[in-house]
Amino acid sequence: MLIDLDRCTRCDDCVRACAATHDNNPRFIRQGPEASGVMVASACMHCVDPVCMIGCPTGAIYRESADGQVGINPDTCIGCSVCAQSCPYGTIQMVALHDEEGLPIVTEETGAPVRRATKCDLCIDQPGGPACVSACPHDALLRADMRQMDTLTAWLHR
Amino acid sequence: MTSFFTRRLVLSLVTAAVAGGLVAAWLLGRVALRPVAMYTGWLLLVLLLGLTFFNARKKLPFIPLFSASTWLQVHIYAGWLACFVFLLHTGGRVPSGAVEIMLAAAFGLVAASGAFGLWLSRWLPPRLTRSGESLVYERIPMLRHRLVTEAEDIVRAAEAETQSTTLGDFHVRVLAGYFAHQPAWLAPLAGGDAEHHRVKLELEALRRFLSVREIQIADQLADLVEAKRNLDHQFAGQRLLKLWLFAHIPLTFALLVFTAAHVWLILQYSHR
Repeated sequence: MLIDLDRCTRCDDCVRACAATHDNNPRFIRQGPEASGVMVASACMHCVDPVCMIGCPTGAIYRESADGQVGINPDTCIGCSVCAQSCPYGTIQMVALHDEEGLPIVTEETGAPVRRATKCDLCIDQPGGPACVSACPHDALLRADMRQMDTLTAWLHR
Repeated sequence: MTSFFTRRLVLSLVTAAVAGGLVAAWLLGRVALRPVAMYTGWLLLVLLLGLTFFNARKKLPFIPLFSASTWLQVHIYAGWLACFVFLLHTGGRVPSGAVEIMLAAAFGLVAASGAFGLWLSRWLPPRLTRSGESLVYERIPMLRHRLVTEAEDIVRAAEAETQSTTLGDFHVRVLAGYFAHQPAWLAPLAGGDAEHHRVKLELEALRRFLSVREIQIADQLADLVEAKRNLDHQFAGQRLLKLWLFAHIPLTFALLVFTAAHVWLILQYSHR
């Protein structure tokens, strides 16, 4: 995820759109390394060889066969946080689950909150593509393959 | 990928063409003794409601109803067109009645705040980028508090280590106030870093009275002063980028209320 800081008004509409699309849990933050007016925001890189997927004990982390996005199946994630600890970019967050009334779901034995791993899935299930990109009113955001230099160059020199 | 210049050019030409068409229709309507004020009034109402929907679209990001960027472009150029239709509607006449004055003032303020916001959202972000590291607005008070604490800790440790109060006195006299100080509301528009430069110059002037070890500590304080400069820039800039909407959106709702009253009054009297 690249953010053109010369266009970005820091309104955080992208983060809000991400939260609205994912049960009020934004899956990235508008922070990250910056160079030449471009920020590489802290969001899942959808690695070619994902460490998180290899280490997941239940196989909850999978790769979409069509476009190659890496996703997490919430039904099989046991919240062990192995993926969050192994992600080299620190982009997997462990979040507490809440019921329909907004109360935290806790385990019966210990009373500890039930947690699941979440990360950017490039809005696989959204018909309009990544919500963050659609929500940016200033064309400041790009989701792109960093190896596609033509796309990046064209975007940088708009 | 369409360049910003091409997009701006195309949309400006389209808006100008629509405005030209409206002028032609307005002139023909006047010649044909048609109620052109009524027509332009309804058109203006449609444009105002359409412009208001941009805010609603932002609240529903999961609906694939064009991107927010497309909506903003439509909002900007439909806004310019609405200003033009407003002039056609009033015929350039200065409002005289109380309701007319309030309506015209509300429209003028909404248009002016929108134009200001557009200019600000293009002018300020590159300046924030050049200022230094980008910061999340909500984290800035915490970062400011951290700077204040860090400066105090450095000075206390320096006093204990060097048995000198020179840096401590300077901290009490200059630095404590500087680190706790919040930038003015319109500071990004005024530009300049007068306060920052004054503190840096005073710190520079102090060096001649410091020992070698104290100069090393003064360098650490200078780094904190520089961090505070970026913090102030980011805070004041981002605050202004958020604040103008607090004028634009409430004024828009006031305009809609006045417009509803205006339409109701017109319909009441036009049928008598």
